Amino acid sequence: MRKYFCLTFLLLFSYQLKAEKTIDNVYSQEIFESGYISFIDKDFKNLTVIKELKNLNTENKFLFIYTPGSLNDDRKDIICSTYNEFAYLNEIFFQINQINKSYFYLNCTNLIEGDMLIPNGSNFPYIYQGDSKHEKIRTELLKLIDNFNKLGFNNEKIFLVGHSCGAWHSLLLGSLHPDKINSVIAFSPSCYGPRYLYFQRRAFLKYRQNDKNTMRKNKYLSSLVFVSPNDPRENYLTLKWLKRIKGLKLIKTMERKNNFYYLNDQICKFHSELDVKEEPIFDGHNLHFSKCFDYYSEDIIEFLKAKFN
Amino acid sequence: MQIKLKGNQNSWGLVAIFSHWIIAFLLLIQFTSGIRLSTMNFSYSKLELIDFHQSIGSVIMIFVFFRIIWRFYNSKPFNRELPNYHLKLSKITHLVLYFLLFSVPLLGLLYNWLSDMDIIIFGLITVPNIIIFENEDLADILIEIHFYLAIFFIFIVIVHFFAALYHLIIIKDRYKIFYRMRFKSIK
Repeated sequence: MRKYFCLTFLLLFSYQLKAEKTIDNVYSQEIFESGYISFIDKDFKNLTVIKELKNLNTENKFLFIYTPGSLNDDRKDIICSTYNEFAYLNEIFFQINQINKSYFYLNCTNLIEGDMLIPNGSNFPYIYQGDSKHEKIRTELLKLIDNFNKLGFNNEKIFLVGHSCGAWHSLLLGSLHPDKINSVIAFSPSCYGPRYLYFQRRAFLKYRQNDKNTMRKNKYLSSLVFVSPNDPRENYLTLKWLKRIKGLKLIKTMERKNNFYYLNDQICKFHSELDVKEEPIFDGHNLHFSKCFDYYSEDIIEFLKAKFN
Repeated sequence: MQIKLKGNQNSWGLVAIFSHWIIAFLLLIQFTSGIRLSTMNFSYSKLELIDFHQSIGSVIMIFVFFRIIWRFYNSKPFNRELPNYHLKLSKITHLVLYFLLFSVPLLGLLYNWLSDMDIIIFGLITVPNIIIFENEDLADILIEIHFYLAIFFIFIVIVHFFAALYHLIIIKDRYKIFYRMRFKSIK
């Protein structure tokens, strides 16, 4: 009898030992609310999201508003973002902070929903009645900028950073109100789905065309855009027209080889949501989640140094 | 008697026969991949299938261009016993087939050019964009026409196919229609 007790205790103990090792799980947690991203050093393990800062010192400080992508077309998302999205982006943030002290604000768009609540992937042929989720994201972002203006940030000190749908709307807002922001940094901008999904989503693509036309009318937009050459959403071919906008620097990120992305013969990896282990990146859309994006950090820093002065 | 490159009384000639069967085979691929594309949601495999569809389409276009030129040069087989209404029906279907063979790939090409996208044939050659201006609204209309014309095309190909089968099976190739398109010669 004693033997069995000992064995069970041992088993429990060993399980606990293993559980202690997997403390990294914290860093793949999900984020539900917007707030300031704060970090002590380069290490992403010391990253936290604080809802409100008590002593906000806006003197000579820049503000970066990060807008993540959205999962649903017109309905609410469950999560806003995950810590692994900032696992390596944090290093670039740290470098920016060393050049000039700045604030990083995460602008969550997961609670926004459109008036018509159109289900995902549907092809609705009629005109949208009311405001769609995309329009609301834009108005919320504009409100946020106005709020930060009241807190003491000048228009010239606000930068918009975004990924996916957030990047698309940041670029669009930058071209609609160029006087309200300094510049935009966009990681693989795409919304409404790709152009080649014409038969699946005619109505959404009409919105894409309208947005594209407003962006193209704009003569100058100071921005840095990263686009993957083989992203199934929007790639270097479908975003060719961005090159014609003055002040916009379009950077083509690395090519996909045998389903993986490589930098110096090493596979690009990111912190997966479920496991502590690093998993390879299959989708060029999320390339800035990975360590490989360090390769482009120089471009970002160079771009920002010019804008800071 | 061996079949020559150029046609004669009893045969279409090797060039026409080869291009007919190659285009038939490529069209089968185009129809299946096109139907698959119109229902597929977005993924990497859809992107690859689009490239494949475009490459095969451009190869068909080159073949058809060559085929039409060859048709004017080639001497056509003729059978005096063939009833007049057969001749008229076949002429209409062939005209429609040629029109569709040329217009459907052209619409696909124009769609790509108007929406400012490149066509890369089998990942090797990039087709240069001749149209300078860009109009996505027009491109959307063109791709819609491309889709419905292609469905009509499938219908016409089925008509052509069953007409050939009718000649082969039901009337036992009385007018030697089916044997003209075969690689074997007639005694």
